Amino acid sequence: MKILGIDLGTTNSAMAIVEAGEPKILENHEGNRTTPSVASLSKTNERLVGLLAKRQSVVNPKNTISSVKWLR
Amino acid sequence: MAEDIKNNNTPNDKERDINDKSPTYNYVGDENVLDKCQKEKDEYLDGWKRAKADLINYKKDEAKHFEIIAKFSQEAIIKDLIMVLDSFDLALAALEKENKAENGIYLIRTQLEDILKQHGLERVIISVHQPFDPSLQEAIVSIDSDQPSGTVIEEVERGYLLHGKLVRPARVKVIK
Repeated sequence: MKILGIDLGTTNSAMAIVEAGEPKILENHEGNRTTPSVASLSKTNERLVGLLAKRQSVVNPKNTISSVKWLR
Repeated sequence: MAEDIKNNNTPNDKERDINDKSPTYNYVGDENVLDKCQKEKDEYLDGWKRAKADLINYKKDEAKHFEIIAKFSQEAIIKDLIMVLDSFDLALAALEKENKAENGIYLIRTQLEDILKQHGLERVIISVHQPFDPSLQEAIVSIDSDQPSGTVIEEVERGYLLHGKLVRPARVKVIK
């Protein structure tokens, strides 16, 4: 049985599995080991997460969530 | 082993190799021995099958991994050279304003770009007044305009793909 460990960080998140007894961080679709902890609903009602959500945060700040731990 | 059980001809402890750590069974009068052996056999076979499947998956993953490493081994240096291309563009823009741009500088810039293209670098093409696409572009500022909302108004920094993978998004200005 494979176990997936997820670190949901304030700024970035990461996922890891244990392979041959050693932890291995998985790369995301863009080939990065960490993914920005950002989620957004775009102007066309598309759900965006990670880098894509971060890239459009400037133009869509109302519907973009980041740094969740510090939301008040 | 089957012959040994049948003939009750098991090796005694003295005959066993002292390094042999396999379990010893008293075959005579123990009816559960066969069941125990069967369970152990199933357990070991299951473990062996899992280990074999893991090895096959590992080999496939490693082959993919090596392919990616070979393709993107130059990614870091290419990213650095993209900055040189940016510097050329800034220098040429400044020289063009003063009408001092020499053909030689254009040629060197083109030469560098062609070399990078041969290594898999491709420019992200931006069309002004097209909808903003976060998969290839990064919005750096949103501005008021009478143009349609959510469209690109200006490309501030060029974006690049390496073998189809985005290595730098195009930085753009987007209409509010």
